[in-house]
Amino acid sequence: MKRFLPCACFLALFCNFLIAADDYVLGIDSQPNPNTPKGKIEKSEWKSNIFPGTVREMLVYVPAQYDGKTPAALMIFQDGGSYASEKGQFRATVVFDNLIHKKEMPVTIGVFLNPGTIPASNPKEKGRSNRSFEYDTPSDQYATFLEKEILPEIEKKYNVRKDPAGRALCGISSGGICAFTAAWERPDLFGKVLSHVGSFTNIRGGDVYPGMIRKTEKKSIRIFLQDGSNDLDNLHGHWPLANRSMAAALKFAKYDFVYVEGDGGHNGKHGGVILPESLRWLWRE
Amino acid sequence: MNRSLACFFLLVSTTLGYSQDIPLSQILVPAENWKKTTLSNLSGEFSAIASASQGSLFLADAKTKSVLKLDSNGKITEVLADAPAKALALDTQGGIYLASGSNILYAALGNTKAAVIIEGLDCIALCTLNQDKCYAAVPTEKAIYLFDKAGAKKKINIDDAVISLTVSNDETTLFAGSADGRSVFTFRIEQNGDITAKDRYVAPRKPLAGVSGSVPGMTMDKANRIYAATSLGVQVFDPTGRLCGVLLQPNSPLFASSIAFAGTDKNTLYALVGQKLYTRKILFTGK
Repeated sequence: MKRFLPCACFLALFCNFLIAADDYVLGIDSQPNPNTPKGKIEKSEWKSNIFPGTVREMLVYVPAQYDGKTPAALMIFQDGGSYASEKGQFRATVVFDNLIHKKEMPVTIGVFLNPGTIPASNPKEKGRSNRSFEYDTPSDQYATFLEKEILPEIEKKYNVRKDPAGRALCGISSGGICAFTAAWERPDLFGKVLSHVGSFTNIRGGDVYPGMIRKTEKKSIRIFLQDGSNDLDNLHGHWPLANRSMAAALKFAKYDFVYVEGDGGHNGKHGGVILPESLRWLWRE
Repeated sequence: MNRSLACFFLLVSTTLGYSQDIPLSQILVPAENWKKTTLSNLSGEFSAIASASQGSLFLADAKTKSVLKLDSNGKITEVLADAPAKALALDTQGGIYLASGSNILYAALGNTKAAVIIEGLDCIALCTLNQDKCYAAVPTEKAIYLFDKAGAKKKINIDDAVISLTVSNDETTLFAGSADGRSVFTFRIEQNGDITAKDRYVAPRKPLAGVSGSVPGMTMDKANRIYAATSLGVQVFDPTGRLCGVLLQPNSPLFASSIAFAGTDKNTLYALVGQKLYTRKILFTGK
């Protein structure tokens, strides 16, 4: 027994080091519930003029509770396909079903947009990805794309809120900074941002934001930032430091924000596990 | 498909991605720097350079007004006489296009004289396609011309002045460097060579102060990384247009006006600075 206890302790400690970071487990609100009404998803392809030559997949999720009379909230997800996947790290449509049913978030239409690609004129050749250009560039082009192309398309078919507090943007990595950029450029259109392992680094000059936040009159945006201490550190920057810098700037400028840092890497595991609580916080009255 | 997309965005933002997220330490040869090249028996003053697929470098000699070929073994031959050029490009058959004054000339392989194929075009950059066509940047008209060696041409208005051109390895995309240095534009190349879907895909870093930016020269490596000669240095971008790093100027404060890959393994970057030629070996191979 005398030898057993130290060995057991040593083994426990050793095993602790063996357990990788990112050992996040999805909770009950991320699991399909047969008693919860399920929303409907419609898939389409969008050809853009604002990003000329690009095509992209768009999924629109409409919750079962949407009645067409009361304007629904709207949430646009960048890299939408990965957020919508029911077997993926986020399972956003499942979470929406559960939270909307329990009235823990408003009746919300979800738009899941993939980044654009420019197909090659020769069908045998690969298309060119437009993702970094669309997502990482700190400019108003993506916000204009949403304003002039996506919002009108959604508003043609659905009764959605027009106030910025009723519209949220979400993204992961470059999609995270994209969500922030669009809201920063157009806070009159989008008042809520959810960023997962956001790339607030110098991929295309996005590291400018902390300084800009500190020296710009406060905008009406509510922001949830998530990152992991083992996120990337490469030529573009240090992701955890960049997100901490964003958080410090948002705190300095007295924004309504939250920064949650786990121990994960550059993926959606942590963000996916806390998605239900992120959405409750983001959509609180 | 959705699971694949999740894996995709993870891959593209990590160092495991295809030719993305490459820092300078993976581009530059340690302890290797720019070297001024003294090609013996030559004036040493050049107005344009261009590379050929086999690793040869073609140079427009500003003094003798001839075009020279420097092959990968270091041998120099005069290939065209009486051919002052401000831009050069090679086609797949070894033919040479030249922008000379306000004309465009062409010489087939083996010809020692180039003939005028287009008159009245103030072209500053040339870039060939495999389908026997060539692009010419004409910044004074804010246009790019598409033409062939018979001189049949088509003007494509692009509403911006561009002064350098390069084409992706698979010839699906044309990259054009702006005169104001703000952007490297991309265009989709259609099957007939026409260009569409213009956007400001690449944003070169600009100097903090002093000399204004411009992108006078560009080339590409085998992995579709873009090398842009700018007033800040040679800027290297990955295929998605993200900056990998900036190579210092060969002869600061002067900056390169033209760059090309050549040499036995095509991993020597040649840069024309003023009218002098500089070389630097790097870890990647030109297209």
